[in-house]
This record gives sequence, C-alpha cells and structure tokens, in this order.
Amino acid sequence: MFHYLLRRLLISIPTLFGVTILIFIVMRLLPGDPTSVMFGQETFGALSEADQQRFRQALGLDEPLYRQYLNWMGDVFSGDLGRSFWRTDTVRDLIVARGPISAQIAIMAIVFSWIIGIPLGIISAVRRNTWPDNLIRATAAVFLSIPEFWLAVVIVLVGVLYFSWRPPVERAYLWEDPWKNLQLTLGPAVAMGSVAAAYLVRITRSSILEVLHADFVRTARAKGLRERLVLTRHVFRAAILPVITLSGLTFAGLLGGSVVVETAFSVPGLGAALVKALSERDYIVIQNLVLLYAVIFTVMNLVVDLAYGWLDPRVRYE
Amino acid sequence: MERFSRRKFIGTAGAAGLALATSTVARPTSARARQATPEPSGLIQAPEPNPKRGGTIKIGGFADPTHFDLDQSPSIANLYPQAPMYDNLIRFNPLDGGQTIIPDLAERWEISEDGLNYTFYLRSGVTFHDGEPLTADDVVATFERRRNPPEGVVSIRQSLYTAITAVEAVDPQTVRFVLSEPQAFFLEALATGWSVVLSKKSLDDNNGDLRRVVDYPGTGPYRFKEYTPGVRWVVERNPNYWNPNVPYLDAIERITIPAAKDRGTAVLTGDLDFADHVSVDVYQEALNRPDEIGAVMNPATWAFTVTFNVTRPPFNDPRVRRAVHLAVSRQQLAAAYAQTDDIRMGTRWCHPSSPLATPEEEVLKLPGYREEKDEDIAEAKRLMEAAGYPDGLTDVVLLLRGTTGPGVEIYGPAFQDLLRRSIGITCELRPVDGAVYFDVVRGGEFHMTSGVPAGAINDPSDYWGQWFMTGAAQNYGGYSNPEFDDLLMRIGREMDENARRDLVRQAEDLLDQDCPMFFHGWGNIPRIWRKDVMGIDQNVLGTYMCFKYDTLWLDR
Repeated sequence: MFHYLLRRLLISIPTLFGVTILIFIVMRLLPGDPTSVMFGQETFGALSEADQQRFRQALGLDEPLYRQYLNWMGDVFSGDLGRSFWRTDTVRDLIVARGPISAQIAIMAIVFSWIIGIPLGIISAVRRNTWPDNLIRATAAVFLSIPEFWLAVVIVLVGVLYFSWRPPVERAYLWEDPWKNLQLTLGPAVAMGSVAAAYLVRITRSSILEVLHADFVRTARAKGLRERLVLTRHVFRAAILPVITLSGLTFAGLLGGSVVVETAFSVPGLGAALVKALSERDYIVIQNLVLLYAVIFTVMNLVVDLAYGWLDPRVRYE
Repeated sequence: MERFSRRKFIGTAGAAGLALATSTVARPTSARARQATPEPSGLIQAPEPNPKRGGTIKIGGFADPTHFDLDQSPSIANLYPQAPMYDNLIRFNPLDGGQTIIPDLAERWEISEDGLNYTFYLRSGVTFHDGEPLTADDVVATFERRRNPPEGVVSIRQSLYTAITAVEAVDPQTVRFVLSEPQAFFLEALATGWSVVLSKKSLDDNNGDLRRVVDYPGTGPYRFKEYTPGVRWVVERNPNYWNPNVPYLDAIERITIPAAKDRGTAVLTGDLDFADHVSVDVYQEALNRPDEIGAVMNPATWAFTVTFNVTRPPFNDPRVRRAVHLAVSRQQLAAAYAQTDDIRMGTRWCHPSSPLATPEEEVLKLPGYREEKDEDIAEAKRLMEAAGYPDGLTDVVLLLRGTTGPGVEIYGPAFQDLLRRSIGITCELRPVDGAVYFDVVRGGEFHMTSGVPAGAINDPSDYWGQWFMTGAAQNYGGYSNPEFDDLLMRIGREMDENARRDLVRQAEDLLDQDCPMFFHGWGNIPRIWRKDVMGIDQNVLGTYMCFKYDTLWLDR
C-alpha cells in the first residue's frame, strides 16, 4: 500500500511538471499583451517605447522565456505563487481568500448529489420498470439536459421575484457567519449538485442492475439471506465502485468548473477569478490556478484509486 | 416611467424649498465661461429638510480598477469608488443634474474679459486626509502633471487642458490658469469628476505616478478605509471635511458585483441600497415596486456606434457610408437590444443634454433618424448604385469586441440582419477577444466595428476631438476631413453660445453626409435605489459628474 502510494505520487510529479510547461507556453502563445490590456490600449499606445518597455520590465515580461518560467517555479516552491499583474495581492492570498468558498460549494454539491442520487438510483434499479423507476429516470433525464447555469439563474430569479430573497452579495466564510455563508453557498451547491445527482442516479441504477445478476448475489439469495441484507452487504458494496469514480472526477470538476454557476450567483470563488484573469491576460494567476486544478485532479484520482481498495477486497495494491 | 425633466426637477426642488445655497454660474455651456465671478453664498447640503446623519450605504460596484491613478485611467471603474475621496476646484451641481457649475475647493473665481485668465480663490482651512493643508501649490502640481505628465505617466484627458499655457500660484490661496486662446468648455473641463485636486506631497513622494497607491490623500468628504480586490471598496466619513453640512453617511461600502442583473436584484431584495448600470429587465421590475424602489433612466455620455474603416473599400466611399446611415433602422436596432441597453432615439452626433444639440423632434424628422424607412432605403439604394454596388456587397467584416455577451450575441447579428435586408450588404461577424481587439483594429483588417465610445465631458469639442479629428486616439476608422477639423477648432474657440450652436449644427450636417460612423444613438443608465436612500439627484447626466455621494443620507 505504502509503496503504491509512493509510486503514484512520484508518477504525478512529471505530470504536474508537464502541466506547468504546457500552460506556460499556451499563455505565451495566446494573442494579447497583458501590459496593454492592463493599461488600456489608448493609454499604452500613448506611452513611449521606452516606457512600454519599463512596464514590461516591472512585470518581468522582458526576460527570456526560460527565466520567466524559472521565476514562476521559484515562486511556486517558495509558496507565495507570485503576484498578480493587476492587483497587489499574491496568488496565494487569492487562493486562500476564494478557495474555501469554491471548495465548500463543491463539497456541498457532491454530498447533495449523494443524498439525492444514490438512494434514487437504488430505488430505480430495485423497482426496475415500475412507475417509480420511470419517474426517477424521466426526472434524471430532465436534470441531465438542463444546463447548470440555467438552473442557477432560475433559482436566483425565483428567489428575487417571489420571495424577495437573493444570495448575499458579500463573501462570508462558514467560520465567520455560518447563516450568511449557507445562503451564499446553498444555491450554487444545489444547482451543481442536482445535475451531478442526475448522473449518479443513472450510474447507480445501471451498476446495481449489473450486480443484481451476478453469481455471488444469486448465491447470497440461495443461502437464504434477506433481500435487504443482500442489497446492503453484497450488491451495494460491489456496485458502489463506479459511483465513487464518477463522484471523484465530478468533485474535481466542480472545484474547477463552477465558473458559470459562480457567476450566476455572483459567488467570489476561484472559477470567477480564473475567467477574470483570462480576460486580463494575468499570466501568473492563470498559470497558478491551472496548476492548482491539475493538482486537484491528480489527488482526486489517487483518492479514488485508494477508495477502490478499501471498498472492494478484490483490489490489491501490490 | 416618465423621464424626469430638468424643468420638472427645478419646479419640484423649488416647491420642496430647496435650501441649497450655492453660487452658480449661468446654465448654457459657453455662457458659463463668460460669466464673471460668482459670489459664494453658502455650502451644499441635502435637498430634503432635516436629513439624518449616520449609517453605512451599500452601493453596487461593477469592476475593480486596474490601477488607482485617476488621471491615467480611462475607466469609470476608478471614478466610482475613488471620487468620494476628492474635491475639484469647481464641480457640477449634484442637485440639478449637473446643469450648473458650483464652487468646490475654489469658493469663487474670476474670468478675464478676453477669456484667457481664470483666477480661482481657494477656501481657507482645507486639509488633505493626511493632515496637510491645501494650498495653491497642490493645484499647480495637479494640473501641471495633468497637462505635462512626467515620463512614464499618461494623462488620459490631456486634450482637455491643451489650451493652458501656465498654472500659477498667485499666493497660497489663489491659482491662475492662463490660456493661449479662449476655450468654450474650460469650466466644464475643470468641473468634470476626473479633474480632482491632488496633494503635491503625494505626487512628489510617488514620482508623479499614483497607479500603485490606493489611498493617496484627497480633501474629499470621505477618506479611504479598505479595499479588497473583487469584494469591496470602503470609504468612511472625513471628520475634518471643510463643509460642515456634509457628508451625512458614516461610510460607503461599494460591493463588487460584475453582472448588471445581480447588482439590480440585490437592490430589489435589500442586499444593496443603490446601484447603477443595472440591467434593463431589473429596472423594469423596479418600476413595478414604486413603494420600495426608486428607479430612473439617466442619460449616459456614451454612444452606440458602428465605425467604418474609411481607409479601404467599400467604406472609403462616403456614399456607401451614407447608404448604411440611411438604411439601417435605428428604432428596430434599438428594439432588438432593448432588454440589454436603453438606446435613445432622436439623438444625433451631439449629446442631447447639451444646449448645443439638435432638438429630439427635429432629429426624428431627419433622413436616417426617422422611423419611416421607405424613402431612406430608396435613397440608400440609389447611393449604392452610384457607388458601383447596385447588387449590394458581400464579404464585409464587422468586428465585434469580445467573444460573448449581448453586444456579440444580439447587437451584431441584429445590425447584420438589418443591413442585409435593407440594402443587401452581407457582412461576416468577427468577434474578437477584448485583449486583442485594439491590436486587430490597429491592423485595419476590418470594414466596420461596433463600439460604445464615451466622452470625458458633455461637450462635442471633447468627444468629437477624440473620435473624428484627424489622427485622434480613438479615431479607429481613420476618418480625416480638413473641413471638419477646422469646424471643430472653431467650435472649441467660439464663446458665443448661439454662434457655437450654429457651428455645431454645421458639423452635424457634415457628419450626416460624411458618416465616419453609423451613429445609432446615445445610451441611458438605469439606476435604482431603496426608497429610504435620500439626497439622490434623479436627473444626473453621465457617469463623470457627481459621484462624491456627499448629499446622500439614509432615512432609517
């Protein structure tokens, strides 16, 4: 187990290294000069060539590309991740300020998807081709078809128009103001969790249906076990593996892919920061956030793989 | 909702016993410049009787500034949060929609008979937020930097001050501006919210570059308290403010909410007290709640336009440009965009709030501007034929700034459709990321580009100088007409209002023929607030005039 973990962590190093090089190069290939975006084209165009050069120098953009890359790596290893071109705070400050909200929304969304998706998936499988199954499948199909941002906008509009309520406009952490924080995060979590739940319903249903016909289930039933025990002890444990895989990847995706929902609810999260940084060509912020997402995906993949071994005795990490 | 007219406002204010005691200069633009010294007779205060003190107002902000130097910024993302911290020499009256100019740090001023010398007498006992006293040297340093910025500093509105040949400290309380020639809009240039007075000390301490200094001191009614990027900008009451009447609020929290719809809904639900630039649909919802929400559509000083690249065919031919001017229905285009922005019809090249503008009813009878299109389209087709394009045109590139949003998704396609259906010009929409848009425009690889340019003051000398003057910074289409340039210079110098209006009319007629742009119309800003926010000027013009928020108070 320990060796497996160590091996996986070592393998992830070249992966992350590759990501840093890729994002660094892509940012430099992208048209648009951050300095001219920053100062506005009229302003920047009015500067003398020497002044323009001075601004590029101040941002470190005049150095050879390999130096710029090494500088960034130095910032990454020092832990502060470098400074935004536009703002005075470091990228670490930005992640510390916005990360908790995004992470909390992702956790709440994934828990919401479990609470809704897994039980409904089980009911749907066990009562296959009855009216509850049909209803659940139809509802899941609806939520699979709805774009998250549309759901988010509907939640906000219904709140505003019928209940004179909308999510708070100011950032509030769970440990500072739990009530305000919940109002801020619940909507995005439900919007994203509903769609994730619809996927879970389908994957849980098909996975359980598959296991229900497996030999060991027939054996369990033949031993005279009650149906509830068959389901909980044998079927569910074997069927949960694809659910864990899906949840792990969905969670990683939610952390990085909540841009539109964050925008709809005006949540000051990491997704919104990434979009803003892209439009501003704030290389340092973009590079570090992409690196952060790469780390999240790598770690989540590892966690999912480790969870397999814990849940399924057939899986061994030798 | 009926637009709140100037006349109506003045009547209402009078009936309410408007206690504002300020010395004001006569209203018409050029008359302001000719006006002799107004005598100080009082200080500004809220228009309502017995305003309450205290409380924190929450206002919706739409973006973070990219830096903090007001003189180097073209963006109102700077002006909105920073303006409450500073004062001008003179200012637009925030209680009459900016129609008059009133004293600010200068308690009175004199203008020489020849219009070349402006002498301002500063109030005594005014201090900056760092405790330093205000003197004439601060004013000199401020305007010297503005008209002659040091190396590495860009003075965005430098063109407003080009007529100044010297700024002199006559004594510690007196400043004189010497002009090379009379300038009809000089007082407006000093009164715009951008023309704040800075401290010489903070300029010296920072080598004249304040881009990275968030809290450089002003003399304004509020002082800096906190700025958290992407979250909020907070200013608090200046306890040593020179005007004891204002401000009333303890603090202003400007909460950053980028989406127009969110800013608006936050006011509807009470999370914010005040927001402008809200979306039109939210503004309309606000109109349904007159008991709890105030709402008004204020004229903005930006215009919806499609600029022609006049340096290459087919739009190097003024007949083709005029054909577009005549054929595309402004009314239908505005209707297509109505849920996003309110574009004013019956407006021409000169801003409709200017006394120099052509009256709305007259504009609506002019070819191109009128709603009835048959005659205009027939004339447009004749022009196209004469220009050698009897069957219309294909492969015309319409550049759009940005890759998403209503400008790209609604405005561009609507314009494209109207153009094709009216005179058979088929254009390709080319949305370009904002970060590279100006590079593409500079490269000239386009035929038309849509845009929403803005003026720094409400005077055609300013914005026409930026957009249409040969070689001007925002003259993206490369328009050049010596006759127009000459007219513009004369408009800038002409001090007689009637003569100036005639010149402006001539210039407008010329632009209607030459059409450097398809000039769609001037914009409006939907603005909404909770009904317990008092002291709001409902008739304010533009984005740059009256954002010190010093007359606001909360009836709680």
